[in-house]
Amino acid sequence: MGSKLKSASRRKFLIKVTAGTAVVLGTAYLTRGIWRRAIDKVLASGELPYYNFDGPLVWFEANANNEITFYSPKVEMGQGVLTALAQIVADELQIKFKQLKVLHASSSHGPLDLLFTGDSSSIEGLWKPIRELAATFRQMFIIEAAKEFKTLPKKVKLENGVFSYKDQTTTYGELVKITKQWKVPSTPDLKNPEDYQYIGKAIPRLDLEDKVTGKPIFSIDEELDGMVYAIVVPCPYIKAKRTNVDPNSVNGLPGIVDVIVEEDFVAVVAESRFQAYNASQKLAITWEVEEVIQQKDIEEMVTVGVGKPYVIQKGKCPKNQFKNASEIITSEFRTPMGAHAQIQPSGALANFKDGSLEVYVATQNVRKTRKDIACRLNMRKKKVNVLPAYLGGAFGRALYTDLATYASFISRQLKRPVHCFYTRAQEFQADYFRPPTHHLLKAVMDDTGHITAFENNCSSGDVVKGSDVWPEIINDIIGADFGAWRGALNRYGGIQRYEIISWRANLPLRTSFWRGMGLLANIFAIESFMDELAEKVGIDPVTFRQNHLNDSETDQRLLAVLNKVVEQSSYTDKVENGIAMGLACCTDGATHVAQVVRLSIEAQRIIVSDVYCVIDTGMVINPDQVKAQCEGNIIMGMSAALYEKVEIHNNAIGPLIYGPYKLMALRECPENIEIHLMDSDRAPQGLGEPPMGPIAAAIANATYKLTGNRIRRFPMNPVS
Amino acid sequence: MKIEFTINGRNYKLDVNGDEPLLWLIRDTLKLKGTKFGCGKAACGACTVIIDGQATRSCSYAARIVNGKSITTIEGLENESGLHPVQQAWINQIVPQCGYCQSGFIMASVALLERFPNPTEQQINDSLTNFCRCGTYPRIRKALNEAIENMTSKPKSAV
Ligand code: FES
Ligand code: FES
Repeated sequence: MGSKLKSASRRKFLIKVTAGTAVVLGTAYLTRGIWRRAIDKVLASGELPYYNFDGPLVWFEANANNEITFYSPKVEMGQGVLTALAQIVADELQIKFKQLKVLHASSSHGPLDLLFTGDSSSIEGLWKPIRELAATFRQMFIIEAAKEFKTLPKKVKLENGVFSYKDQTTTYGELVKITKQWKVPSTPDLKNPEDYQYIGKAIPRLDLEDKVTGKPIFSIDEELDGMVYAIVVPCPYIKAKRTNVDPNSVNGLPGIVDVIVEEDFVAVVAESRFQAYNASQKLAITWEVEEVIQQKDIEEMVTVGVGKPYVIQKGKCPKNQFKNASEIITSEFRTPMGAHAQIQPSGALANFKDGSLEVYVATQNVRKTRKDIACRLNMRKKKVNVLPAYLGGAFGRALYTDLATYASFISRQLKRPVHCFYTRAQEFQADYFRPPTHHLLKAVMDDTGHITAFENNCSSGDVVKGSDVWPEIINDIIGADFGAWRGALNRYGGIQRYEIISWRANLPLRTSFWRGMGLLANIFAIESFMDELAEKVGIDPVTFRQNHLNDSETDQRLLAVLNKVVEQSSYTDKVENGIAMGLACCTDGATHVAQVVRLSIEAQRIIVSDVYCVIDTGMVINPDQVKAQCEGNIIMGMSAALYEKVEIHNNAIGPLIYGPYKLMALRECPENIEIHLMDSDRAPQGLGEPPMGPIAAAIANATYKLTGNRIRRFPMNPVS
Repeated sequence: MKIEFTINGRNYKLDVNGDEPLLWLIRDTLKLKGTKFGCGKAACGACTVIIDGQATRSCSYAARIVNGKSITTIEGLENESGLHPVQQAWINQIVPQCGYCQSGFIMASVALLERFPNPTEQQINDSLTNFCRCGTYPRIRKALNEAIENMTSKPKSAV
């Protein structure tokens, strides 16, 4: 261990040298106290907790070929995180971009990221520690270069990966070859933002070529010799249990290897995927429904007033204003359950050999995947190596990796590698859905059209609660489910008297993280309500919103994106030729987004032709990929708002296939999606989800202008 | 049953279960992993390959009817002069996010442009009915337009 680190005193550096050819550097980060402090801050400020955390494990490795490998603690699920992290690292190491290779860290790299990949937290959380670590790594080499050049470290210049002093030069690779004993120095000054070579540039994603040539980069593509295929059959009903399995029902079918019947799962194993699938269709399993449940029962459970309320945010007390009001305006909204419907089904390839496991898996949470497996198989965590692969879409789904556990179990039992992925129908049945929600909003306004009292009640199934995705400590500290209330807070500083209440619905099925968590539903409710209120007092929606923003920094930033989107879209309240525009905005964490849509109604369907989106997400690492994330969020949000719902009929979950579970297709995608990024020198903020917020309300607000009908539910129907 | 077919110009003779979907033959028997499994019910398009010029969802195409056919998968698009112009346009427009759906989209696009070098909007929408959960549609459109331009304006050598 080298000398003390000044700016990163809590960070602990580990260093390893392999046979004089490579040097690696990692960091582990301390947790409990930091978590607690951060959470206290959350409760005080109403900001989402993970925005304050950094704390992953990061590894660099330099080799004699002058290549530097960076092991990312975050997983690539399409969001471009590997590229963005590479840009940050390459800048701080002052190397050529091509010199850097980025790989996923597997669990064998040491202690694991305490958080998972998700919640738009990766870049924001890693921004500081990763630069500090890269700078420290760079300094290690500068010190060695100085020795080589017989000069002082501060005299050594470094540019594009070449260290120089007068006419002498060397490289990372050369230094790896000759250095015997490395020392970890204090963290030097970080690079000046003016000198950034890669940060802020639209560098093409690192994984482009692999992804357009069909390289086997996903976990479903992994193969091992002697591999068998397992199909795990999930329970097709809610509130039901398995009462019988008859393994003889698949006797004699071709290729059958085994039928595994365990307390927590049933699986058919065969030599080919097709054989396993056929057998799973024939396997006689009896399920017994314990209590009949229909969709309307679910809706009753998710209703403001039912279950446990938590006051999650409170301004000045609005009670008197409500009591004395001549009119209280109230409004209700609902959203249904949603499926992740990522195109690659969940699954894993597990190989148990000589007492150890290797698991190739699509996971957003390496740490939890390993813990779950180790627990279930009663193995030491050290013996379980989890190798995360590129994710074929995730959106929260890959926080749960049940099949990795089952595949591991089966592999140990059969002593063969086991490839185990859901069918599409099973993927729907085994999903952890976006929870259904109900929203009840109330407001009182004065003569000038100002909101003098505001109440927002949101009822939702669990997102964070009941899930072991987060370190346990969070649930102990936070009462309400901050995943469920994400987006429900009052972020209009001009509204002073308000109360925000989150109701926890107790549902007989699994609901959890879905891109943006409560954001889509809560902003849909609030921003639809804002338009309703504006209309009530005869003020246009833009002015009405502006009137409720104060001069705090955060309100001013929201105001700026709002004004910008109005300008960019030439927003108008006028309906012309059956075409209307709608607007909505939100602040999520410290990211601000405003969106405008232009749409028409044809054959009773909403046709969105244009979406304008302005976002302030702090400093931007890769503008092209920020735009891609905005586009993706807008399209996924539109799809959820216009088409998607999961329902329960006689305890069965459905639909179980794309089509009936309709996703937006190319045909319906707006012709024009324009993204504008605000300039900012704030540290980077989350961006993988915030643009999901305003889109549904913007569509509802525009539709209202055409039909006079306020949309109160998804999937949106313009006429009822 | 015994079947004989070509994939990416190579001839194969296999003894198969005639009901097995082509997708699994491609992925698991022939180890070409670029063709993806998304739904197994011809609903998502992730498994799209080109069979005798037609974009085809291989998850719902039984091995028995593969006999005598000529199949192209994503691995068969590149030639000596490099990537297919559709793949190149996909790179230039930075289309993929998670990338899982993209082989299917690229194959459907290649088949479309082989049939209609200058497709109408309707032809595009009718042919590219695959799903992308990451929402790369706007870029798919741009990339397709770039490919159309490059393939119709340049000599055909790259195709
Ligand atoms: S896997 Fe063939 S269409 Fe979905
Ligand atoms: S890029 Fe992820 S599904 Fe299309």
